[in-house]
Amino acid sequence: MQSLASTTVDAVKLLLSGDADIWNIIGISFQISTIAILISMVPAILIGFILAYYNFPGRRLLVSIFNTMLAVPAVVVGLTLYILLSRQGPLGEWRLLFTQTAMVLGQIALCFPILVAMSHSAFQSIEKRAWDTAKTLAANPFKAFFIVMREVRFALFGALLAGYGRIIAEVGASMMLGGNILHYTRNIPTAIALETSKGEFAQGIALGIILISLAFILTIGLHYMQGKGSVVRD
Amino acid sequence: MFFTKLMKTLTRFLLLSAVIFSALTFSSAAYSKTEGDSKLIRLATTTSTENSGLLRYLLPEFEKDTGYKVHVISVGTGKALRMGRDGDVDILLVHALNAEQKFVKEGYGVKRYPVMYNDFVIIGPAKDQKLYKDAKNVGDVLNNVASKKMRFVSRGDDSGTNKKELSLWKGSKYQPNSKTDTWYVEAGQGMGKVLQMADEMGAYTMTDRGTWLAYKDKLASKIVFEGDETLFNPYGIIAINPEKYPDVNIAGDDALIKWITSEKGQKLIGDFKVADEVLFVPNADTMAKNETVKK
Amino acid sequence: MNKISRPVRLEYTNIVKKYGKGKKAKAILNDINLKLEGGECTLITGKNGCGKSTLLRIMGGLLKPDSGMINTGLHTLNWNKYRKAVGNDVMYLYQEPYMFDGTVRENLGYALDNKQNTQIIDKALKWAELEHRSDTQAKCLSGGERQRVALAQAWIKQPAVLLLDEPTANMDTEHRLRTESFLSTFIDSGTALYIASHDPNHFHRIMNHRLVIKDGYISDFNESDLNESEHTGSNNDQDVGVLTGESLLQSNKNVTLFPQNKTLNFSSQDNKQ
Ligand SMILES: Nc1ncnc2c1ncn2[C@@H]1O[C@H](COP(=O)(O)OP(=O)(O)OP(=O)(O)O)[C@@H](O)[C@H]1O
Ligand SMILES: [Mg+2]
Repeated sequence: MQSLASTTVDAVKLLLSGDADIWNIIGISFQISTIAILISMVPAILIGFILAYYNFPGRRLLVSIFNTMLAVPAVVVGLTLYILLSRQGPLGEWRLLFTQTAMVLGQIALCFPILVAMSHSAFQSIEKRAWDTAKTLAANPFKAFFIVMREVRFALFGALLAGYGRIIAEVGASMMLGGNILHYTRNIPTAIALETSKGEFAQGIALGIILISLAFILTIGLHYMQGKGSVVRD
Repeated sequence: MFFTKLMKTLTRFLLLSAVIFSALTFSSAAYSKTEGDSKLIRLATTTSTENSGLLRYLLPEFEKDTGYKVHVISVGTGKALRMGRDGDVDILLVHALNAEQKFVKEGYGVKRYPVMYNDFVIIGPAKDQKLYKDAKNVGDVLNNVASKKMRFVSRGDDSGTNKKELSLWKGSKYQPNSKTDTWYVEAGQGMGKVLQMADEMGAYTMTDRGTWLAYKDKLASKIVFEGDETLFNPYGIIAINPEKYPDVNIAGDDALIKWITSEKGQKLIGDFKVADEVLFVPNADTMAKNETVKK
Repeated sequence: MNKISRPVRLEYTNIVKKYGKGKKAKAILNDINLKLEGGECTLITGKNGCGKSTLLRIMGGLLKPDSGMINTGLHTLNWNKYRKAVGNDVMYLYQEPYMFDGTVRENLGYALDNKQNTQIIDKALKWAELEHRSDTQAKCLSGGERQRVALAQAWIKQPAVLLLDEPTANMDTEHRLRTESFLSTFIDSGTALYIASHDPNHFHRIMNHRLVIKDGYISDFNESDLNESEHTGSNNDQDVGVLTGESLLQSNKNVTLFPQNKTLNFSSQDNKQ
């Protein structure tokens, strides 16, 4: 086993050399996770908003369902979707297993509860008065929605970052649903799993460096957003 | 207010990249659409063929010759067979002869075509190399390991390699049981991981030669036994039966089987080397010119 | 959708509102009937906790009553339909207006329709004498300034019905009087004004009707109400600043004397009834 230092040096070299395979993997990772977050974003924030401001039968149940889903491990989400999408499963007709679409679906399933729960509490963090005022001021409910959305924008950004952080680094569901196909469904976490199993630690570390830097940026962003959300500036 | 400005730029950047990413995806989705599902073959195979680099060397040639695109999903043999049985892939390239024959007999596969073989080797601590100089067959080696309770790491993941190992123990005097025998460890991991584990633990294990060649420079372990005919490891290719799953890409399967068993495909396999050693010995019975896997 | 036509003429009948559920339920509003008409100003008085804000919020479509119908002259609507019809025509201003994150100018912008010119914001700032505050963070404003921002928003929206909950509660006499004159411009332009105020002597320059809520019922205000509501002795505007303080003190003293004050602590005793 080589030393960590020399492996890390190799990893950095690999990244700087613009190794096509590595950058392809990184591209796929970001592409799939970004699409998943973009698709989930609008409905999840809307649901969080409705849960916060509208009372209807089953509201509490929905809130606890989303909170439970938060705690479901990624592999379980992956396995459930695998069974659904498998040729033998109820959605087998779609032939989606081992495609990027399946991975996007898996990541949506993973980040959706986070986005709902966090935007729900974001909207809850301001008073009911804010929503009522927005309704009286705005010409239509959509404009009112945008007014309160702007009011909690930092908390919502935080929710997006947290959701992104969960899916970009997630290996279980991606591996199961995507099948880790080179140049197609191999993303950073599944590639790390594969490369380490092959003993190619340099590649694994190179990809790890990308993930760690991303996690660092996301965490700083999250802290900044949370700070913003609670401070009244002048 | 520097931060506010920064945030604005950042937001714009995020939005922009989101737009670019989605544009990329939609264009790539459109691209794969034009390529069409009929040009796509999903191949489930064992980790050993993928990890050895054979498929990455072989398949681009096939894709160039025929215009098909192959998506390789590499898992353990057990899982690959399961994927085939569920109709989630079009074709299998695996090495578990008995299971493959059963698979075909049950009607999930059309027919098994031999492609190549490699062999397994037993590795262990370097100092034990001389112990087995006079061993006649692999059973003797395993008997010795078991009687001295030397550590042995098993894949324990229902892979083809795992099945092979278990069948070798059947031919020995001792049947290890991971519950009661502390020296017998079930790892539940891929071959590479198991090699690393065995090396760290100073244990024995059975590995395919391809993975061994890829790893041996990084390990202190040595081959302690090789060359027994029971250690040969034949690979077969099986098209999933379109009678079970009508949307199987049987034309693609046909093309791939023809190509891989053709003179060109077989020669390429024979020429493939890792660390200057030949890994796979081609052994296809060349398909009759007019035979197709379609029934 | 049923629109509220202008000039407005709305009639609210049988409005009932209870807070709490089951045995704990306490009726704050019992069978309230009232009318409002464009260009007229109505003052609703009554003691703290008598239900003024509750009534105004129901009229503003923000709070669902237990029963009640609204006649627009063309249709009779239940509350759900009314709430949808309310749209941009009825506007309720909170006792403590909520300011959104952003400058005063941005807060005024939220009241703008897309088609409206942003110059209107400048005019609204001028109208509410908030020009010097236009770029201040609205959340940092004082109570009186917030109320002026809310009024400026109403000025921009020009609703058919304007419901004001204690609009001058946080203002000194000078600003209160000035606000009264702001409000008279609404009346002149045909808006129906409903003002809730615990002090029956405020707004007497601009009001056309004066109602009082007592024990959950609404009635015309008369001198005996004035006696009961501790404002005996003066209804002179000059003394009002002092009087307000006095009346507050007295109402605290009288908490147990009047039946409607039970609503303030209905939890413990009312259960046994
Ligand atoms: N959401 C609620 N749940 C239970 N009780 C409530 C609720 N809102 C108001 N109340 C009670 O209803 C009564 C009327 O409240 P309301 O705010 O309408 O009074 P008000 O006349 O506006 O008083 P003030 O002069 O203090 O503004 C009060 O006793 C109050 O405690
Ligand atoms: Mg009130």
